[in-house]
Amino acid sequence: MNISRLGNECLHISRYWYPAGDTAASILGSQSVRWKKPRWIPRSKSKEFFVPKRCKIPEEEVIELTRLFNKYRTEMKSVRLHLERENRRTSATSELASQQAAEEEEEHLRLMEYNIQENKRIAALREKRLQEQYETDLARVIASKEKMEKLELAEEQEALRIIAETQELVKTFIKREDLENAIEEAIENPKDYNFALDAEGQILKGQNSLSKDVQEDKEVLSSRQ
Amino acid sequence: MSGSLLFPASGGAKFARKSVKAIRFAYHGCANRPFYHIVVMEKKAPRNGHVIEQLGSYDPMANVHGEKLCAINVERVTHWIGEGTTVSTPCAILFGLAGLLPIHPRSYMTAWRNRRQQRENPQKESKINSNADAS
Repeated sequence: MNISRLGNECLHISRYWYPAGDTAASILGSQSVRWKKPRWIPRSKSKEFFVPKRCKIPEEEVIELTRLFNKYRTEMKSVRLHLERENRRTSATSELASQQAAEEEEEHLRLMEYNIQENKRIAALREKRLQEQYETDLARVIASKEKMEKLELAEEQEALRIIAETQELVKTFIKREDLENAIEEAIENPKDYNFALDAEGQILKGQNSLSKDVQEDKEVLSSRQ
Repeated sequence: MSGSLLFPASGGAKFARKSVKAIRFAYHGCANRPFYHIVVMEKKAPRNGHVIEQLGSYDPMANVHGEKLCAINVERVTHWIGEGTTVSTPCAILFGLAGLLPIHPRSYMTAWRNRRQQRENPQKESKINSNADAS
């Protein structure tokens, strides 16, 4: 509906309405409606000469209200003055605030002094503790070193022993130049291992053993003797 | 309408030192459900504009126990009044009933009018509530 035409039509319809926005209808498909008479529509004919009745306040009520308001204003003035004074008294630049600041500064200095003393005390304790710890550590390290030296010595001796044993063993090795002799000797002296053992380690030769090559019928294994 | 995401309701608005400021209600309710913040604002700032400081809240609808809850930061209210801030009438009435300021004459007026109405026709509920018109 065109708003400019509304003025004429409104005189005939009971309820006034017009869209609240211009583009809302086309975008959303729904319209916001303002159910109010626009400002430019004149006063309705029925109320053209209507003068609303002045509300009447009784005389004694007016007097009482005047008295109360005068009293209220006076009281408010004094309350405000008092609060202003309070603000000034407790503000950051006031004497009270500076006094409090000085007190706080003094307290702070006192606490700082205490802090320094406490730090010193604890530093002494720490120094002592660290010294003790250093000494115990030193003793532990020395003991450990001694122990390690002993262990190393034992290991060295063990290694030397192994070397000596091995050197002993090396003497029994068949050398390359003696290889032929050793083979010939082995062929000449065959050894029969085809026997059984009982719980005592006695050798029990079988029927198929070459008994002629063995000196004794019953002999004990050399390792058990 | 009542709230805005652009700035906090708790305050923080910039203000000139000598600007006229007011302690007043800022409407934070919705349709048929009034709820107010008690705020300090520059007097010419919009009703729900950025506040300098929130000083409390006021719920004019009585709860199940028949109480209208209201919270006031007394320390800050006294500070702001001491700074020369004007107090709006509804706030002054509330502060008067809270015992912070002298009782506002309008509270007396409402009371005696209610009493008179009760006297004249006792069946009728008293239309004017002692604090509802504060808003």
